[in-house]
Amino acid sequence: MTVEAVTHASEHHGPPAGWKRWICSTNHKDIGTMYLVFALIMLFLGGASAMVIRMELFMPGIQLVSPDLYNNLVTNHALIMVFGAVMPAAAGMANWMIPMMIGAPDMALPRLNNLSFWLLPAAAIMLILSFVVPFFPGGGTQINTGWTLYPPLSLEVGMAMDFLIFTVHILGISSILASINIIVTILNERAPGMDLFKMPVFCWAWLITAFLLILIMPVLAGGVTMLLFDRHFGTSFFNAAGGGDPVLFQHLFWFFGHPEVYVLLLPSMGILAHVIPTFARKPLFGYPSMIGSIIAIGAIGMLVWAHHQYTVGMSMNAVTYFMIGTILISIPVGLMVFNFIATMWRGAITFETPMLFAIGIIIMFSFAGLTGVMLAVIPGDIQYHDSYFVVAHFHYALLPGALFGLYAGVFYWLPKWTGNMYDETLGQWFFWLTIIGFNITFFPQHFLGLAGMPRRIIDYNVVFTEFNMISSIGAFLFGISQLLLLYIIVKTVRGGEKATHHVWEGAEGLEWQLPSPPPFHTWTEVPQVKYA
Amino acid sequence: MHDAEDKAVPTTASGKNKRKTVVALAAVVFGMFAFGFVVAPLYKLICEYAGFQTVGVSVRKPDTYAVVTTDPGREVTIKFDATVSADLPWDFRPLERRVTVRPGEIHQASFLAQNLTQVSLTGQAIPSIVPWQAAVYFTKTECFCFSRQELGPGETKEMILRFMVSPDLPAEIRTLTLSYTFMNHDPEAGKKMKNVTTRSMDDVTGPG
Repeated sequence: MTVEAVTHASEHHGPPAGWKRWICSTNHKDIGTMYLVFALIMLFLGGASAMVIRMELFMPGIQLVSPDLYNNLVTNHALIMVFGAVMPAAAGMANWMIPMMIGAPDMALPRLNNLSFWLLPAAAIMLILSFVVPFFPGGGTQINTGWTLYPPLSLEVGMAMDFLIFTVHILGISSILASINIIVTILNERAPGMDLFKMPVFCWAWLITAFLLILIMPVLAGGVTMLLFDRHFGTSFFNAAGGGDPVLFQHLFWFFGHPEVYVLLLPSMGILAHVIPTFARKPLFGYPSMIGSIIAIGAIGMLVWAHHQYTVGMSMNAVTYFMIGTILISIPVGLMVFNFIATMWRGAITFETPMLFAIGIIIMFSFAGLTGVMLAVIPGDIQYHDSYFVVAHFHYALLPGALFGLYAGVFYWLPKWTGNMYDETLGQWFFWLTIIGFNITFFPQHFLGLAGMPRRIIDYNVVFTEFNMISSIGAFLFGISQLLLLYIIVKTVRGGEKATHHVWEGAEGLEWQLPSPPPFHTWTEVPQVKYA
Repeated sequence: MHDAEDKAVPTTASGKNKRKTVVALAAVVFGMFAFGFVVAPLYKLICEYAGFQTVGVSVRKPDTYAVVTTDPGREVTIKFDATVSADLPWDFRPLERRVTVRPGEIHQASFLAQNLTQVSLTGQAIPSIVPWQAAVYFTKTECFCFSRQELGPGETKEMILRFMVSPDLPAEIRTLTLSYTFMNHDPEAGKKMKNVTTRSMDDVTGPG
């Protein structure tokens, strides 16, 4: 790929000074940075709640927190990690990279971009309030439902649930606006010559992700709105006494919740599709099949939600359909993994931190795929349902599949964003500590689940003590090692070896033709893209 | 800042395209929000139209049972379970915990409900059957759960249930658990009752 009109550093002006630069920002790079910083803060908040959970589970019995508070921490851990850490981090990278990758001067709707970011801190405050109000007199009970918010329990929770419902509303609006912006940018702002079917895979992954989000977020918003109405306005959407059915909420929730898994996964897979060719020094193997599998994952992913509800009593035909659909997803996912492996095949591979994460992801995410097929099979699932096996499965899917992919992206693009190289030795230390901590934490949970330990319960049978202790020790290692990430990022932002335009010798694409760090405005002169 | 925005819309044609895309996407968002609300009625309509059997709802016509014969050897155990939701201070229990019935025969069971308060309360019983696969083979000809039940202050009432288990019940099902939960029909009145323990029930006076 070559670019004819190579950029001049944007001459006219830099960022406005002071706080207005951030509050009123319409610049995709600044908004991307704010998204990433917000995600990092939320990562530590969600991580802190995970640490309390693992401390409590270190031994059987109830030591640190009350059962309701424990369940509230479980709820918050999930919501903060999904909506606070992973989604904003992915959105931050989309903001930074998509305009630079497709040769656009900014996102298509810059003011909307500002709004969709600034809704997030508002949502975070609402979420924290939902955690805090039960500590005050008259604050009602804690949110003890888990992130799924199933009625009838969620109809019984005190006013904290109302704060949480509004949190979900605000988050939903934020994601919908961001998604509309990304779709409009990708469809309308590509530089001449940048065909849709020659577009970088990261942009494709985000295009499908954004479509998924605008299809599912409104359904979740509708579901929690019904919850709100049942709680306060006497409706009976989910209230059995009035002719409603709590199972309806489960369908609405998982209609959102299952595609949400792919919302978390796809951007990270998009990142891998850049990292692996760069460090294998070979073009991506099977670009069309890669795009095809992303589209197929999105499409099939929309149609299999009820595999989370095999035990609620659906008809045999319905569960059989959901089982077959779910197992079908392993085909495009497998294709994607094989494409990554084929890209590495006979490549001149070097093992910098992003590549280490990429290889780790391929191995560990495939493992989650394996337990995923186990869970998709109805009789198996009825056995594993709501056990720690499920917890182990989705942490193997979401940490490598989403979070570690974002880590790979951070290490891959940090030199581009800051202009400084990160400390490679520290990066590799961070990788190994994270991977070892992660596996010690979650691998034993498979066995706990198979042995019958249920999830979301503060106490457990003493026979589970040893594996829980191992898991907790792993979690503490995993948790502490994330501080190293913070240190590496701060150190890189503050200085270090200067990065070149290209940063990595094997990197391809428009974004690598810009200086590191890129000027405040880039591609103000539209580049002409030509493919060799 | 303005320069960047102006340049983001190089021609009016592209500006129009952008607006078109935004409008289409916004329509999708509103459509999906509405979809969440119509999905349940829509599902029922489709099932009725296509003749799918939804779980827990018997779509058999009564005449299916006209010719049933009792398999003399077969017996099925029915266990009864009774619960009351937190906002309805009633005592509610089955007179018999379990009965053994023969498929194809009509049986009667009784539950006893007592209002523990000094006010009149209306409840609605919600049934549930485990295992759920058996639900379509369980027919009620008469049930206190068909209508709301009102109990006066301190009143005790026998609640009648007439039922039949179909001979088509799969052979591997030998035990059925039939559970009833009485819910307060009036959620507003229920809220007042929620924090009242049954011990202090006698002190509870009229709702308001």
